[in-house]
Amino acid sequence: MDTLRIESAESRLRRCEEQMELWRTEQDRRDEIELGLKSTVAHLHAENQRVAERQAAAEQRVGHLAQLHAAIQQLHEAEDHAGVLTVIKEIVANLVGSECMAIYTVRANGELEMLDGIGIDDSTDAASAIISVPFRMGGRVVGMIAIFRLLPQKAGLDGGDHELFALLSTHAPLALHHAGLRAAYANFA
Amino acid sequence: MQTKRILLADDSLTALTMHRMILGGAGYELLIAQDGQEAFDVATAQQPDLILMDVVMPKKTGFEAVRLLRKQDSTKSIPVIMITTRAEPKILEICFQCGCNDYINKPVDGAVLLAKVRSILGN
Repeated sequence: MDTLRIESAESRLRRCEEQMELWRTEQDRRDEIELGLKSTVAHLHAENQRVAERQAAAEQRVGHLAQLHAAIQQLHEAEDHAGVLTVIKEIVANLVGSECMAIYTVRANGELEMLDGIGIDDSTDAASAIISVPFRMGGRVVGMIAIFRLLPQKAGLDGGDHELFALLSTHAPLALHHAGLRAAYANFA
Repeated sequence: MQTKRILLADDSLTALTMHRMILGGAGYELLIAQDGQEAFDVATAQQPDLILMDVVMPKKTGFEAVRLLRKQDSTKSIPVIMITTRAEPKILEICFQCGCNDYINKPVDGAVLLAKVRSILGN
């Protein structure tokens, strides 16, 4: 025969309090886990941001290096004098961002002679350039690039442009010199 | 995953070399055209996933090439990014009227180029 047990109010209260205590402990444990997860997520966000910034900086640098590589490769691959001048114009137009520039050589008497250019005429005065890039060979200035105006969307010259100018200063006269040698050799042969 | 193919159309070898280094280094397969007509022919034959087109080119300008591509069923939905020297609103309006999806001003910033290509092709 089943026995009917009647739980006293006090006993039920105690049981409820015990259950509450268990829930509180469980809640505390969950709060701790949540705090830990939040901290991990914040850490991952920060790490993600750092990686994204580093990637952006690396891609910016790769862009500059690609510019320098393209410039030097094309300068030295040009087959003749006219080809080298075309490459110099392309570099200034496409990589620096100017469609108003001239390339000069220094004559024996020290005067400048215009070899080629974009967006200029014979009356263009080299002295009105916003920047001049000298061509140096053997410690002498043998010519220069004069840039008179930048494209409207180009706010100004930056570090990447100055790296290009440094490269042009050395490699453009070398490429012109080699083109001259090749032409002389071809005539001789 | 299949490698995405990009057609680079530019008559400047210097610009092509630079774009090839940046996009080739990022894992894209590249096709090359050096004038507008060649760009149209290569795009028709090879169906690239994206075209990077210079405006000023011999035989056909970039604008003319894009107009022709948009008339063909096989090429009308290939995304085109136009590379423009002039950033004036009128030029950009012509770009979009021709059917270009986006544009980049010269001088091309390598990081901007990669970002625009990724936004169209996905990472």
